[in-house]
Amino acid sequence: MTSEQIASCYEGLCKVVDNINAGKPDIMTQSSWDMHKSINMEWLRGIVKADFWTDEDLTDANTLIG
Amino acid sequence: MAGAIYFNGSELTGQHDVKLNGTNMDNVYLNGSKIWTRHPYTPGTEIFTYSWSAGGNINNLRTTYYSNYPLAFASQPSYSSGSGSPDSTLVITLADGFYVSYYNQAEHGTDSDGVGASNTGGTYNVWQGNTVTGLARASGGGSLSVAGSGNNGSTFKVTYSGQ
Repeated sequence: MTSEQIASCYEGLCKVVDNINAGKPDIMTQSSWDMHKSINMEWLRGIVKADFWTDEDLTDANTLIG
Repeated sequence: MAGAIYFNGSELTGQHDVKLNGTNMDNVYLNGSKIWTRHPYTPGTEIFTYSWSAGGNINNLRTTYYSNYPLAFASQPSYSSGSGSPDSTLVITLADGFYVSYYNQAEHGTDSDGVGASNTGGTYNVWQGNTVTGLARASGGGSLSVAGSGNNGSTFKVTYSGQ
């Protein structure tokens, strides 16, 4: 991956972490939130293991996924 | 695909490349073993694009798209939850040689490696919520570089790699 692609992926990762930590938006149903959170937590578990990371800070993501 | 035939150093690709007495061959056998199978599409052919919106219905991917592009699927897509409207998860398994070449999620952006998780087969979850949608690699190795659920709509493309 190019540095731009890695940066884009990292931006997405940070957004997902922030979204999950912010909790369910009022507009979202509980069932949608449960699935939304589950899907993105699973994505986080996979993406933090990617071999393209360089010096990005993955602390918050790793803390979230435990 | 099952093997390849080379002519003057170049792999014969595409549809109906091998002829016998002027007739296109679908398969070529050598001593009873299949050594070449014609490509159903020229490698690199974009097979279909699927877009869906938050709060909509994804059942036409299970029915119409499967009916129109049966070779792209290993089997008919089925639900692991719901039946098309929110909240639903449709599980699709692509046939060997077909892959997700593009994935865009309105909130999270576009899969940045251009290939997705792999360039052949794999199982994906197509997700439909009331305000969110997304696509996630369920099995087959790797993962998409864009998250599997975000606000508003999503789009993915399936391309034939021939691999």
